[in-house]
Amino acid sequence: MSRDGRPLVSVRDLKVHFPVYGGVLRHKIGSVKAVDGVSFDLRRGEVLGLVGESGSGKTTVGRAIANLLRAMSPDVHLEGSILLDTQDGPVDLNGLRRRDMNRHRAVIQLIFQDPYSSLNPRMTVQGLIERPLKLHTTLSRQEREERVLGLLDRVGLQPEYANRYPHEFSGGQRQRIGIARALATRPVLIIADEPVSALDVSVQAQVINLMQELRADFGLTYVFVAHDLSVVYHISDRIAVMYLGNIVELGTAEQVYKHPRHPYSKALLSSVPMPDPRHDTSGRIRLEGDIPTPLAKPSGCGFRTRCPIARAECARDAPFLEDVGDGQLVACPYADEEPPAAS
Amino acid sequence: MTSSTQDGAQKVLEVRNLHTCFDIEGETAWAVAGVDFDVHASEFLGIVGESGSGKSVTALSILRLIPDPPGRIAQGSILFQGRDLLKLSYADMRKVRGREIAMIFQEPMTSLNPVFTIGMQVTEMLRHHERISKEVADERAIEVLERVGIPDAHKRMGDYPHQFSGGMRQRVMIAMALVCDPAILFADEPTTALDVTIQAQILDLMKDLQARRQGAAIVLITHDLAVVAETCQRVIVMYGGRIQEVAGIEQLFDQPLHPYTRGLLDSIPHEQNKGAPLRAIPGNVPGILHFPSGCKFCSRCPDVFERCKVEEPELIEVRPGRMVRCHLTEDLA
Repeated sequence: MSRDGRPLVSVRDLKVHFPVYGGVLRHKIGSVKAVDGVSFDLRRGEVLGLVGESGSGKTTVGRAIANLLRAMSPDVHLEGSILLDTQDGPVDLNGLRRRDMNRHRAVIQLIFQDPYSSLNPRMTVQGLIERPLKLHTTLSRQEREERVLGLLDRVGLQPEYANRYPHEFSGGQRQRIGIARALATRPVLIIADEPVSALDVSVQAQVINLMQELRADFGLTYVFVAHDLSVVYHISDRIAVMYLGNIVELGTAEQVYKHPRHPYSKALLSSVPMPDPRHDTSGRIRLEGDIPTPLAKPSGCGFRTRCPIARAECARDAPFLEDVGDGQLVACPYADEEPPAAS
Repeated sequence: MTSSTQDGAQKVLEVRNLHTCFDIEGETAWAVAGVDFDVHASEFLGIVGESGSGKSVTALSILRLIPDPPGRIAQGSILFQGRDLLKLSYADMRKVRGREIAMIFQEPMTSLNPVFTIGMQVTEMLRHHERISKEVADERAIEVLERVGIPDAHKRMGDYPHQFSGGMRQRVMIAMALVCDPAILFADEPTTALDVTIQAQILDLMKDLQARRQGAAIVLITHDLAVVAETCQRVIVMYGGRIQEVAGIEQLFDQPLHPYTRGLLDSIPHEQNKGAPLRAIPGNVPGILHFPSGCKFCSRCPDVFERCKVEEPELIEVRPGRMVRCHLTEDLA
């Protein structure tokens, strides 16, 4: 049966709550609702951009799909489902035990933000890229070596680099090593968490280009988590905007970047500085204050405390994503209303 | 004591032939290798560059905050109000720092002292530089905190840094820097650690302050060309410890003359070419000890030719206010 029509991953009502301990006895005093009811489909071969400010939950969604949360924080509370479409039918990754998850790890790989801390400094490049192959494949030593050399070539590094250590490389080269490692097991899905934001401007473009090429060559699906909206627009097919643990808008890159409908997406996009000195910022929507802490989320709509069009009802009813036309999903019933004119 | 340039702009700071080096593993690394520029009164000047370009070290050298050892300002002069800052005694320099020339940094949390209240930290600067009573200092501090947009400033004077959000902390940093009304404010990546909606607030604030404070200049140091486009009137592009190009903001974006500036602008994704390969600058920024001889950019330049590898071009004024360090544009002068 063809699996083309089905989404690669279906996330349904995902909740990730981290307990917070306090007091003398370190008992639980509350929980951080990092992700608070998120649903979306990840289509085969697409790039889904996840954007939002710090505390929005975008990184946590990526880590939940990669099933890393339990390892990072054993007390985490997980709800909902993350269905991965496999040859043997759908598997719910959420809450999968470690041993069972290991069978799927080869399929889902990660690229991290900081190429300095994500590579073990005591391993050679060969050792780093070979490690997932040792864990997840039965390749012989020689086959592994050949695979590593092929990967190095593919990400634009010279074969003699295989015996060097991470500290001998620049940030951009290290990110290439991280990408080669992620590709080693021939994954289907790559979660890239801020993959270029730690790099110099001139090197960012190289890594973005490389990720685009690899996607075409290997038919990869990306979840691209980043705060730089112009980069996300450039690489993504669809974009999800997150705020305080919820998706507030989801649509094609064009819809969200050029015609955002949710008041938060509008404010976020109008805040992005443009590399054009004549760009008119007079229409900019200025948000007051900062994103609230996810420890004390506002009732109803999480954005209402900063929203220019908030009204009394927003404190009561939590909005859900609704189709506002052409598949653009927006979590705000008043999305197209104008903010009151400034007096 | 200020002098005028040809176009009438008043110079408040003249940096000449500045050289700053660091001793790294027994070798001398020239972080700033001969930098000349002026800061004009009332201007919003940008210094753009990647890591290792020397942009931050230039600012730290002007404020004489280079840790010695391993660093050292080896050569040059920095004329401010008729005095060479590099010749001032330590005590005299302390009178300049914070009062005449102030600086804010990227990380507001590490630049604020966690065990003192905001009020104490803002007034400390005032009382260090001016003989005024605590009451007057408090009043001035509240006034400046209000000016940078801290709500209920008089109540928040007694709060500690951890009680402020990241954006509010950066506002406090700006308040501390402005409380003595300095002639020049250096801002080193002031919004890099902030979210984009907060960044917009802080950039608005800085533009507003620059417009309202008569004669005072802001020098913004950043890697982000979009932030520069939004705020600055004039831009200095640095690479390898050297100034490569100086231009008015619109000139720089309309007609970048140095291949490095062109490369930087080309590597930014633009709306019009979504998904298309970006024209990246090849290679990596060399380590500080490994910049090539000749032109610092020649190892990555798409237009490189033999002369570039042996002879470093001079920084030449090709048009009034427009300077470029490149063999290819020498004939324009």
